[in-house]
Amino acid sequence: MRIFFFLSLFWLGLHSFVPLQAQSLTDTLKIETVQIIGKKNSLNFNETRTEIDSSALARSTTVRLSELLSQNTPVFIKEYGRGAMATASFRGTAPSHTKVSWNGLELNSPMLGMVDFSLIPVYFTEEVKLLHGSSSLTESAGALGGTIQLDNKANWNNTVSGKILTGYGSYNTLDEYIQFNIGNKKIQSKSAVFFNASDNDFQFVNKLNAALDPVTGDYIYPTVRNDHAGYRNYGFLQELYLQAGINNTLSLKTWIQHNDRSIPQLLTNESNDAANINRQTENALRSVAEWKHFGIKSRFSILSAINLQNSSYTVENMVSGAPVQIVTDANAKMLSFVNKFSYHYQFNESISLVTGLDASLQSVNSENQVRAAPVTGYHKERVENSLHAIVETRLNERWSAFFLLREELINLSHVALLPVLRISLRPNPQKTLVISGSASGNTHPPTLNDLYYIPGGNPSLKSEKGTLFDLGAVDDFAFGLNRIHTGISLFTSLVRDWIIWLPTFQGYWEPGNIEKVKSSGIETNVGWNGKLRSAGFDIKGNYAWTRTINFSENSPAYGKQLPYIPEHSANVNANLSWSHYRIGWIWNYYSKRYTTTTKSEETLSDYIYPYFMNNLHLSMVVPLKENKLTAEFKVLNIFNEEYRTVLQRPMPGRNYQFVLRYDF
Amino acid sequence: MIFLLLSLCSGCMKDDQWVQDHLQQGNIQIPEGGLFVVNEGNFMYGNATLSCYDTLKKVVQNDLFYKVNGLPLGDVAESMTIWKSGGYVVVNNSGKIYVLDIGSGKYAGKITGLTSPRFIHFINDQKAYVTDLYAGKISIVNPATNMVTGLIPCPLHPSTEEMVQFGNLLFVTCWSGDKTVLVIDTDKDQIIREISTGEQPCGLVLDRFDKIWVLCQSTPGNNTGNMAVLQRIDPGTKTIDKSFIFATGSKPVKLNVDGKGENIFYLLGNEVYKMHVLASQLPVMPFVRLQAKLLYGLGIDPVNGNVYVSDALDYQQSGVISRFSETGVLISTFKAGIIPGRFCFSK
Repeated sequence: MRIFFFLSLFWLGLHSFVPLQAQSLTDTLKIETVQIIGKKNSLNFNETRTEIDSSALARSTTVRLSELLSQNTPVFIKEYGRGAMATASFRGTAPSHTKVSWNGLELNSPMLGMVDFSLIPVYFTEEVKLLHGSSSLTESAGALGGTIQLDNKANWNNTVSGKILTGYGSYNTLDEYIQFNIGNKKIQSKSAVFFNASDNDFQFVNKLNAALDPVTGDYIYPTVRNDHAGYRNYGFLQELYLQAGINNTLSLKTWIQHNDRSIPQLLTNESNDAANINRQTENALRSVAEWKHFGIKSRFSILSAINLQNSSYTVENMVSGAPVQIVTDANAKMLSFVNKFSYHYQFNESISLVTGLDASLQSVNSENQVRAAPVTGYHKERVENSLHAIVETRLNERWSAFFLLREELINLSHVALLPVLRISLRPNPQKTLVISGSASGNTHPPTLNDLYYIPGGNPSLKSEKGTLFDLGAVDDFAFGLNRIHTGISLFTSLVRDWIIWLPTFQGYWEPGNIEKVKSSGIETNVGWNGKLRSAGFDIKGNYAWTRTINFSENSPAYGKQLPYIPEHSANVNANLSWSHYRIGWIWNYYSKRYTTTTKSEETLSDYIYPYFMNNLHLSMVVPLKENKLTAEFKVLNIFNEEYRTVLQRPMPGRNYQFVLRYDF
Repeated sequence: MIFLLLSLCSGCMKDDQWVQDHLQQGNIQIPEGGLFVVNEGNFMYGNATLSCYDTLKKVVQNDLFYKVNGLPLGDVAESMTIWKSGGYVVVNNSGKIYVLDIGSGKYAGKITGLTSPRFIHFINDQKAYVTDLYAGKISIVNPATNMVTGLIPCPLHPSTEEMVQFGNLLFVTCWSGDKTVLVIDTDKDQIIREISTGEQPCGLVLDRFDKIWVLCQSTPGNNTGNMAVLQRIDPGTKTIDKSFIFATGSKPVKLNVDGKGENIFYLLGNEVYKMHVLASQLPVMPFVRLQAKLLYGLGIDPVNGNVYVSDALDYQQSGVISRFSETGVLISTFKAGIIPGRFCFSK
């Protein structure tokens, strides 16, 4: 509560500082052409959202989505190592409670429910938007934490343009990207291809293993490389946009990607070099076709999309004098076929109606073989339907209301009826301050693995049910050449029937609707940009306080924070630019994360110390007539910290990247 | 100014310092006759630990190895065996065996380069065998040098597990996906016989009548149909002379024998069962029944017959150990580490 009090005072204090100049602002900010105003956490009349602004996106082309989110949003990213799996915890929820959509197509695996954020390149994304909590219900149900939207769009003014990017970094890390755009006012085409690979074999002193000096008995720590950690990803994106008359646009976006990587051993490993050699590969084909029609008072869209993913994971042991021992051979084919219809009608300036119908087929064919045991697996399909209606009304110049009702069905059986009510207030219509509060219900169905995995799958699992409340405020104001954006959001959610896998007497793990979890906290952000003589600057910061407590009766973890969810997380992005030069600093912080369910600190493995990371970016732009060449130099982990983000996983020390980018 | 502020936040993640700050101050005196609890930890977390319990004072020291030595035990500690003054902790998913001084807990050496070791059995001062989950071989190591000196190939039985010695014969269960007990001539380091058993033989004990008992778990999975079985092997004829079949769906684990070799014990669900070695059928009534979340480990004090049972709870927090008298009366409980799986008595 003290934190809440402090933040509230801070936020109110910031607003009491709002100078009179702000009174001259209207609803629409006039933005200078050379500046980009980030809309961070814009609690607008309808939703709580965060948008990562275009300048941050442009600077982050070569990073993965996991890094972009951890450096620019309050979402906590749990990263298992450089290039390794990264999952998200949005408002303290589980990874499967964060949905990711790409141009309307959900990327979450129907098998596991979650998304590996380390496999999504930022190259192919032009807009990144986060819908927090109940705001995600405008898109779909199931995102108890929130939704991350990745979108692409047409530039109808384009004739011929593109970019070529090449990057080289430590550990033989290669980044190559080419994009070519061509079109006119009627038709636009964007083609892009990327290649990204790294040996990822950074060197470090392993302080978790030691040999004994035979004479002195002192420890001798080995200097080792992060072996078996290389990755190689490549992909292709084709976007086609067609302006069919003045009222219709058609688009087709197709994304093909291949990922291949090994997962390194833990720092404590001292097995022989040929033990536990693993390989993980994924192939994905995603395609979205959409027709949008714009009428005078109405518009509708029809979307049809497919997400086809094949994944393979093998673990082998090479034993001299014996055949290769296959420890694990797991293969899965996942298919999502999604169809959406949405109709929007604007009755007048004060009231609008949106209705929608979604129908999707989810299919998983999973086969696992452990050693010489028979192949086990399952092949299951599920039809998911969703109907929704939204009424949005501006009651007067101060008050507006938003009401959504969503009906969820699985295999044509009722699952849940989900409401959202949001009320927004603009206390002074002449100013930009908006206060908004909402209440909603949400539901997250079990994944197909939860239901059918062998052994352990539990077909009688119920959907998780969430009740969410949030209250927030947002404001933008300016003084002189400075603009400040602030936002604060308080949230609480109670999730019943939280699904968790637990060990059983049978010797395997089984999921159950065990947990009742309450998540509450505060998200706040501040952005400030302006000019100091000839230099421009912008600073953005996010802070989140999250308490995710297990309230399951009879649970040995009752009343404790869930593992690996930090109570505090923060980031700051500071950039200073003058002439053709720019310097940027990114600071990222997570508080202590507990690895057990009891918040114990008895052993050294019970928690991970707070995480602080500092990265430096230097760049220079060389104008070449209408084109430009950008050279960027990045220093990551600038203080060369030895650290771990997950128990016993090595992380790299100071490392470097050089990127050349040509925009034409 | 801003960069100055930011730089104040630098250099905070001092991994070394964090370990140093948590080291045990002063020497630990491990009581004679103390009980070591091997806590597996979570797979791929590297949070296995070793606890030491003073059976007289009823005091426990958790995370012993890390706090004394500044080194984590590793990933999935499977078992511990004492030989002379050394405690040999087999760390399965770290491919190594740590050797510690059982009087002080200090790190005294290690055997590395293994694939997925499970148990170590000592033949003499120069020879010990190490079973392995995946290697398809049994490693021969020299405890004097902590070096691997040879191997006994068993490519058709990649998973070798527990061991019991009878004279110069070593009986070895082949557990995961297998149904065999190997018989090894310890003089020649050769497999001389394979005995077919029930599905997935794991535990193995020798009773006072020189009979070997093997507990076969059956195949894990949903409704596989096969049944667990307790079998007795005559080491003389190297054949199975008795079989006790469990009810369908039963998954008994952690076969133990008391110090006199008269009673065998095992876990089944939330209950501990005790069976005299001359009994003609499986016990119907449990020795003790616990209000536990998940019974995971079982150990019998070879001197006083006290029964130690571990409850792994939700697998993600310190497990609870319950100590019972020889007659099944609860004596005490204490917390150990995450997933306490094995007990090792230093008597």
